[in-house]
Amino acid sequence: MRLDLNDKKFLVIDDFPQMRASLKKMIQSFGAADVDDSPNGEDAMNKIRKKKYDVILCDYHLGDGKDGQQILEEAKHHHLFKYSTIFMMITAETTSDMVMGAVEYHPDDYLAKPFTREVLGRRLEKLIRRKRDFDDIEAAVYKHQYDLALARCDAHIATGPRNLLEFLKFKSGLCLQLGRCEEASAVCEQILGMRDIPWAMLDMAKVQYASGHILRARDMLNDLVESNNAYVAAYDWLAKCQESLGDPHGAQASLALAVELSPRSILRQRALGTLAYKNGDLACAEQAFSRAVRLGPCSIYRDPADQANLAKVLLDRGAGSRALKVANELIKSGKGDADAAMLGHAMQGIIYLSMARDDDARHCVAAGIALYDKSGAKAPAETSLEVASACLAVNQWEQGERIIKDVIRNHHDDAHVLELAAGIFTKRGRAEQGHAVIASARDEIITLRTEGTSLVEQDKLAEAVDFFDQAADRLPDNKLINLNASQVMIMYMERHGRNDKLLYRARRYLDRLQRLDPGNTENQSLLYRYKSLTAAC
Amino acid sequence: MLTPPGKSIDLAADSGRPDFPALLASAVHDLKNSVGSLLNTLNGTDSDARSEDTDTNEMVARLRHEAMHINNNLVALLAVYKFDQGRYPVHIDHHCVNDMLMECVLQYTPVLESGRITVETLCPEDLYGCFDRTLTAGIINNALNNALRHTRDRLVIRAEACRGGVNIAVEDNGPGYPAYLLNCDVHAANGIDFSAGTTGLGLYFASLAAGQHKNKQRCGYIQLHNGGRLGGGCFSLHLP
Repeated sequence: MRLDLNDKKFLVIDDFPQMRASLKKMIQSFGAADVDDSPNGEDAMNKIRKKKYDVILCDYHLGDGKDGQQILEEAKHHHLFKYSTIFMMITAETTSDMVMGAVEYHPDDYLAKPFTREVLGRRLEKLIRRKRDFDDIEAAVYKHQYDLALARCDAHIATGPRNLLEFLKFKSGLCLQLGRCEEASAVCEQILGMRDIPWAMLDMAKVQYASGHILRARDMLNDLVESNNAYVAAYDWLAKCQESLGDPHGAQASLALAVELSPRSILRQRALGTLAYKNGDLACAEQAFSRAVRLGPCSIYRDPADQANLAKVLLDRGAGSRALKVANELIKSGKGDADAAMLGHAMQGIIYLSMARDDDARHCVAAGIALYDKSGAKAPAETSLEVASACLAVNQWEQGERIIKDVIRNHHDDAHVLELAAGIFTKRGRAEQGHAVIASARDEIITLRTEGTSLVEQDKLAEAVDFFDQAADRLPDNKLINLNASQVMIMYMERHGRNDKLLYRARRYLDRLQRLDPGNTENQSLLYRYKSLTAAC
Repeated sequence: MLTPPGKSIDLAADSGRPDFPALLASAVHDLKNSVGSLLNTLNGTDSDARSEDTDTNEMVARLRHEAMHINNNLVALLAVYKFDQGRYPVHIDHHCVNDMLMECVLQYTPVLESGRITVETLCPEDLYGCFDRTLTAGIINNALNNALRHTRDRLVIRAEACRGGVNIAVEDNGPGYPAYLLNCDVHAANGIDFSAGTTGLGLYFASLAAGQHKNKQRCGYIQLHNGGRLGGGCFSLHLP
């Protein structure tokens, strides 16, 4: 083995002391000097936050607490890895259903126990070689220079590398991410002309979906899952197609299959619960939300809305006292989390109302409103709307409308939020009134933006900067306003030179965008322009 | 940590009788965990200073070989059970054939070092194929384990591109497969006389696992014959 790991930083995560010791010894025998180890997810996260590891070997099952997938998700979510970090998942099962179904992030490799020192060495060698092959491409992606990444990918492909298909796969994924459907389609066609490969078939379906050929995408996905009945991601996309084709029951069935294959994905459980609830399948919704709640404490994707939804489902099933228990837990777990407590109070209010305990209900809703106001209207849209909905339920129309308007101002172009808001009024039999409230808040923001952009068009950049700065300050969750604000600031600095105050402000709005809409390519190109500004001195 | 079985077993099913296949699968799962930790321990002792005592070394190697044989069989049993239930998660992707073969051979390194058997792998470095890595490694491991038992002193693993797919052969210089195996239909469970030897399960698994690989209406398969370049048994796998 010509494996030189002398300069690499390793982390071994396993709950069995002997396994940790044995793994450490194997790695050290390859010449590695810097090998840390960790017995559980929480400890591992602390280590990962403090040190940039090159290679992480992580057992999937770690007893109670976080599992390997949750560690990976959390670390990637918070960008704690270098782009060159290798994350290898170690599993005890060769046919592990649980491991295969990650929604967002995949490890670089899986290794099934038991394995010998020689096999581990060979895998590490291969992974390091692979990372090296992709180094220049991943570096560009890391810096959000996607065009450069694509160009570098093409350069590799042109040399006809032995692992050509890996580069093509990368390229296809990148093109899809950038919305370059035709290029992605060309890559997939090239591959599928040679042979059937599941990922290329899936990417082709994604191309069709993105180009609006949803029916075609659905048919392709149906074929795909028929020949690959364990391809979890294919079921996700199938469900997506079915839902947009107006077949929510079909979509639910597809998601249910995916969940069966991969029960430990909180995001998928949540999606299934939401869909089942919409479909009126309360039993399925209860099960999915219960599972999401159970998976929550260890997951970066934990969302108190899962508990709120579970409470709602239970209430609809006539299990008021169980619903109340869930709502109480929400408030308890919300000690350090104002959003959770807010939701908990809103749910309590609705549950008490159903028990004809009107005074208790009003009392709880008032507590929810107080928390909402204390948060400075910065709670997530769904949470705020639950509070608003509870307000309307106890006939506090003024308060409810006020909160709904706050939400619309921050999300005036988000169809999902608009639909939710309208639904709250409809549920109370006041669809017309809701329409008016929503329209007025929306128009407010549209006018605001028109005013701001006209300043830019008149070349009054300094005024536009102030204008959008104030607007974004007031609307922390409005994507377009925050986008415009960072845009004009960057434009201004590109023209007049950078200054610290604007750099600071622009960064703040860019960070918000990153949080609100992480995949948006416009944000990425802004971020790149911002970085060129900070580098230019 | 050890994994729980995929599905809880209702020992007294509706009929009042236990669901015997599910009970077996659960037990097999449990056994596999045990053998797994046994092998982990053996693999761990490996990086320790090796014993001066050749007898001890040989004994450890024998233990390991037997443990791997059990492990392969249990993996095969579980897979066959899951095929039967339609629940085996097949994941076809492109992989470097040489890497996969080297890993299979490397699993046996500790066994080979103590024996007098040489293994040669003839595979182009740039040969890529589309297959489920776990299943295919399982097929090769079974073939290797079997060949190691019966060979005199040599093994050759040969891989090459073939009709848009890949052919992999494991050949030895032992006495070859007995006639009843050459003549039987390994593609059907009842074609194999399970009481006749230990190879039945491995071949049945290999045949089913090969069949999980499909490309453009073509299906994977295995073949057995005697002779080859080493004159012994020859196991070959075609992946489309």
